[in-house]
Order: sequence, then structure tokens, then C-alpha cells
Amino acid sequence: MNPRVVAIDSDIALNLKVKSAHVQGVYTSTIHLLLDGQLITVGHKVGHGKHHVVIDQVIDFYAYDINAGSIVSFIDHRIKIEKLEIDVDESSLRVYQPYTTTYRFDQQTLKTIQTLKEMIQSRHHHNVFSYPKNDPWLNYQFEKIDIFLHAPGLPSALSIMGLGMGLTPLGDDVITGFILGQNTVGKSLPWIEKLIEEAKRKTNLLSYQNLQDTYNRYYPDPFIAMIEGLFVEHNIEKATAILKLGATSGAGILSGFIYGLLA
Amino acid sequence: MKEAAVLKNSYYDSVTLMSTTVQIKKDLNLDDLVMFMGTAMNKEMIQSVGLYQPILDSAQPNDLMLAISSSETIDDWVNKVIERLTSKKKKDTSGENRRYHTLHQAKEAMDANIAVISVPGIYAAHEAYKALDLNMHVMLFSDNVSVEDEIGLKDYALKKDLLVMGPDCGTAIINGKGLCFANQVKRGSIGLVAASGTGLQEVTVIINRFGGGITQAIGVGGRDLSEAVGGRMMLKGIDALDQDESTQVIVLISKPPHQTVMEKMKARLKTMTKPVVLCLLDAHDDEVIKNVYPTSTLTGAAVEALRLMGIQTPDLLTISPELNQEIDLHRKQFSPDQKAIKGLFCGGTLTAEALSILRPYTQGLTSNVAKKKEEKMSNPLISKGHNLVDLGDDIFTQGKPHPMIEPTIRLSRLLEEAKNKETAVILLDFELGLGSHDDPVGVTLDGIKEAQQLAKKQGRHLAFVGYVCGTEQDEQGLKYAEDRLRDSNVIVAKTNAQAAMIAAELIKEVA
Repeated sequence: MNPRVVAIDSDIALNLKVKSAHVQGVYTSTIHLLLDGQLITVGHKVGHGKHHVVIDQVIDFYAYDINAGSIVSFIDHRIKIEKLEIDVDESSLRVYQPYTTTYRFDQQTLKTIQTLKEMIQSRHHHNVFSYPKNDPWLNYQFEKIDIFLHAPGLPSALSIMGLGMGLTPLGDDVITGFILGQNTVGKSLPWIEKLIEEAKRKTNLLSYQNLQDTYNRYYPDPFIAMIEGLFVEHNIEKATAILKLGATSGAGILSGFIYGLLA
Repeated sequence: MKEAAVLKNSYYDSVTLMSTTVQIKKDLNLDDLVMFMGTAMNKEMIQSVGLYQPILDSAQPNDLMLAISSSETIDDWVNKVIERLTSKKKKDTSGENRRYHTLHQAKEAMDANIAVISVPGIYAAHEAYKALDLNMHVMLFSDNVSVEDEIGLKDYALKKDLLVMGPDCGTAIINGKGLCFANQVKRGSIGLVAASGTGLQEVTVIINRFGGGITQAIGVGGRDLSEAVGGRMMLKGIDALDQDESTQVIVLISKPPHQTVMEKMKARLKTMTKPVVLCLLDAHDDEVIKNVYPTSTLTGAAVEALRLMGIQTPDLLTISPELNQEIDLHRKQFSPDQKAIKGLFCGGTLTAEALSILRPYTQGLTSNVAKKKEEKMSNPLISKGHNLVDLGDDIFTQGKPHPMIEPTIRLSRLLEEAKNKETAVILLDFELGLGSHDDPVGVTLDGIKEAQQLAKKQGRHLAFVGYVCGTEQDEQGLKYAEDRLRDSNVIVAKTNAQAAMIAAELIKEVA
């Protein structure tokens, strides 16, 4: 039995049918497709979102021996990538809309945000609020991030864009969180649009896609759950799922988010 | 030498990069190694620490930059780094370790009756339900599963007469097969149910060492005995072992259960005909129940179970005169400021057991596993006074492997403790067996040596006490592990509880 798509954006599905996509990168639990300049993440363990294709099973993509550059086809309700076949039926088509709800602060929300900050400090070893100062690499990154968070602007944002290890560099995670925070309280700083343009050449494709989606308010569902948890239910439980992302990504996003809310 | 290379269009996630950097540096004897994506900001960062080479100019944001510094020339270093990075990616797809892409496929191909589930918590319940639908028992290694999901899963399993071991269950031995973290132990007549991974390992290895054997060792997950979950799987496990003809003695292991769960357990135990050893660390209950043998340590639980099987053991807690002499030699070398015990543990329950043993011998003892407010470490990253730190705590493992898988994450803390003037004793545990690091002792020896030298340079002496939780049948070899610790001037204990007793003895006259 082939794996099956649980959710795919209808525009993305249409584009996959009519335009050629190819594999951009292969990981244990996700595969990335490049489609018309957009990066699409396919996997079971990804949140629902505009550029995410969620499938019904955990798949070890390495086991399929798929190479970067391989052509992806979508014919007769089936996505084919070399030997991998994924079935798609009409029920999986979604229309993702930007998340436009904004929230206002009250005393209770401020308390919740303070609790969130304490949670990051106590549960993550490498975060902007506390990190091992004797590590020169972390020191370098967090000093720059600290400058951005306390004086957000285009130069300080560009100085952390693409900074850090891994697929989504820590600097980008902080910026993602910052934009998310700004959007949540209905603010928008004028330089952010320019920053997103710069991201196309200053960071890698996956990170660029994430930044662009965040800026355009196409959030994956864990982001929406976190925002509603904090502002509607006044609890931080949903934010713990974000904290678990990557080695430093989760803490970076949440730190940026707090500063973005308050900026 | 300082060299660099660019891997075009190469992506590795940050968890892989962070977890392999330490090992690659050690394997290739590098002073420094960086592996960052080729963004302008990362180039600046590499320049700032003096590792930048002109070849990195060509790197683009989707490329991976490698830069090293080493006191010696390393041939073919780029390929050696790639080999180690990709070995993390590539998995065995050959022969008997066949890989299936779905639970359905595995069930159909091999008629499996247990599914081990290890996916991020938010997806784990969904996978567990699928396994239960297929009439498979579930071992749920994943954590971050909600209490509601845990209750739902366990109720569904009970209806189908199945087990849900977990969530956050690290150890089980079912029909002689170890699952996740488990040691190679003989089969026999003692059955165990535990809400504790390393607790289960500790009791089974001691039973094995003295000729006892295991029927089943069932893990239930750390939250099973909470008020909300109500001990659903602990009670189910007791029923299963009670009905199992091969099981003659039952051992139950946990930290203190909620009082309501305790009452349910006691009610069930009163109906048992088989002898039950009850090891509830730090719990106090004076009620005497026929055929139930309470113990306060994991060592005590194993000894009692063996006794009930007619196997006598030597005293595993008392310190022999020879050992006392060795302790004395260390104690005499402490400087007046050296008064503190620093426990750096990989095993959570082993930390809790050490805490319960050391409590009467120390003042101001704190730990990140402590339940009592006054014993809770305010910040596990900061060492002060007597501390017992479980390095498997989320704060240390975020984005990194658990220290039982990668014990090198303990090394930096070990050196910090060595620099601390108050440190007299460093207490370490090493877990062997399935799932654990290939050589947890081997990767720690250099750190121990460096710590000893560091203290010596400052006119201090450090006493190391080590305990190896394992069996000779484990791939890593118990004797090989213990011998190398002894060669490094580490006092090697027979059990985790004895290790704590030795630590207490070491500071007896100085504290």
C-alpha cells in the first residue's frame, strides 16, 4: 500500500501537475521539492501549511535512494519520485489562507509571555537569555542576535540572516519568530519587506521559504496553535512543541517571537 | 594546519551537525571543526575565529562549508568528515534488518506482535493507535505525549488485552528480547514491572550477575503511576506476570506513586499468591502485606528477588576493609575546601536512587530529579554544594542525543566540576547494553584524566567513583569497562547504591 497524502495545498497540487518539480534535498523523515521557485517540504512529521505536503506515514526517505535533482511527477492521483509513489485523493486538497487574526495585550497575556520566557530559560540550554559564554561560536552568534533583538532594524537583521548551523540557521529562526510576533499583534516594521527580499540570496532555500511564509502569514499549524494557546487560553503548553524543533531552532523562534511581540 | 572545503548543495540538519562535531573532532584529533551553511554571515563568523580559507569564497547559502584546524596533517580529511556525517544518514537496509515503511507492512511481513514507536510526541499517539488496531502491544519510546492521549491509549489497549509500555518508556525485555535500552540478561523466573528505565536495567543486571534470570521486564512509562493515569499499565503488568506460569517472583519498581494509585496497587497486591518485591524509591508505607517485600534501593530489590528464588548474594552495599583503605587514600589528599560530591548521571532513576541514599550523609544536597522543594536544584546548569545532576534532563538534551547514547555531552560539565574548588568527589554512571553508546567508558577516560590533571595543577585531588550498569554479555563488556576505569584511578562500585555509599564515605570526615 502506497503512502497517502493527508493534506496538500490546492495551488501547490495544481502547480505540481502542470509544472516540473525536482528534488532539492532528502532527509530521514522529510524530502524537499523545488517547484516554480518555491520549496515544498513533504513528510509525516511536518505541520499542515501552505508549503507542506503532509503524508499519512512515517517514511525513511533515505531508504528509497532518491537523489537531489530527480524529477517529480504528479499524474493520475499519484506523485512519483523515482521508486517512491504517494497517492493523492481529492479529500486531501486544502485551501490555506493567511492567518490574519491579531491580538491585543492584556495583563494576563503579559504574565503568560513572562512564563514563556522562563520556560525557554529553564528548558533550553542554548537560548538568547542564557547560554554557555565560554563557547566562542555561541558567543559570536548570540552577541549579534542580542543586538538585533534590542535594536531591531534592517542592518541588525541582515547581520544575523543566515547565521548559524543547520538547515534553518539560528539567526533566521530568531527573525522568523520576530516577524511572527509582529504579525500577531498587528504591527509591521517597514524594513521587513526588504529583509525578505534579501533572504533570497542571503540564506538557504528552506529558510528563505519559511521566512517568506511567515511574512505572508502562511503559518504551519504549530505556530497557530501556539499563538492561540498564548493569547486565547493563556497557557504555554503549545509553545513547548515549538521549543523541541531542531537543535536551536525552537528556542530561536520563541525568543524572536517574544521580542517581536514587544518591539 | 588550517584547511577548508565546500560541499556543494549539501544539507545536514543542525541536530546531526551538533551531535557529530564532537565525535569527528575526537576521531580526527582536530583542534577545531566548523560545519556551517555557506551564508555571508557564517563566513564572517568563521573569519572572526581565524579559520577562514579562500576556498570558502565560492560557497553559496545552499552549500556546506567545512573548516578545520589541527596540529598535524590529516590526509583526505574531507572524505573522512563526509564519511562520518553520512554514516549518520545511511541505515542498514540489507538482510535480516529489513526496513518497512509502515506498521502495516511490518505486521504483514513478519507477523510482529509488538510495535516500538519513536516519533515526535505529537504524532506518537496516532501511530500507537494504528499499532493497537493491528492487535500489537506498544512500546512508546516517544515523550511529549499528552496525558489525555496516554489515558486514551491505555484504556483502548486494556479493552483489547494489550500493553502500552510508555510513553517515555526506555527499557523493556519481552520474551528475552531487549527493547530500546536494555542489557543482555539470562532468561529465568523473575518478572518485573517498572515505571523507570535505568531502574529496570539496574535490577536486571544485578539479578543476572548472581545467576538469576528474567521472564519479562515490562516498562510502563514514568507517568503511569500519576493520579491521572492511575497506574493502568502497572496493574495490567502485575496481572500479566501473575498469570504467567514462568514467573515465580515479581519485582515492581517506581518512584513514589500517587496515593490513590498506591491504594489500588496495595489492594491488588493483597490478592497475590506469588511473592512481590516492592521497590518504591523514596516512598514510605508501613502497611505490612503478606508476600510483599518492600525495599528502598534498586540493589535491595534485586537482592530480595534473588533471595526469594533461593540465591544468596554477598553484601552489595557495605564497604569492605580493602575498599575502606582505598577510600582513605583518596580522602587524605583532599584540600580543606574540598567537601562536595558532584554526581553527573546519565540515568534518571540512578540519580534518584543516589539522592535517597546520600540524603542522610550530606547537608544541602540538591538534584534536578528531586521532588522535595528544598532539594530541587534551582538551575541544573549551575553547580553549587552537593549536586546530583541527571544529564538526561531536557535542559541538557535539547537538540542533542541522550547522554546514554552520546556520553561525551557529560565531558564539559565534568571539567567544570574539576575546576570548582569545592569538588571532592565526582560520581559517574555508565550504562552498557542495547541502545547505549558503543563505548561509554572509553569516550570518558580522557575527560577523567584531564580533570585529574587540572585539579592536580591547582594542588587538589579529585576522587572519582564510577558504576557500570551492564553485564559481561553486553557488547561493550562489563569487565573491560570496569578495568579501564580502575586503571584510571576510578573507584569502581558493585552497584549504583554502593557508588553513592562510597561517595558518602569519601566526604565523611571532610564535610
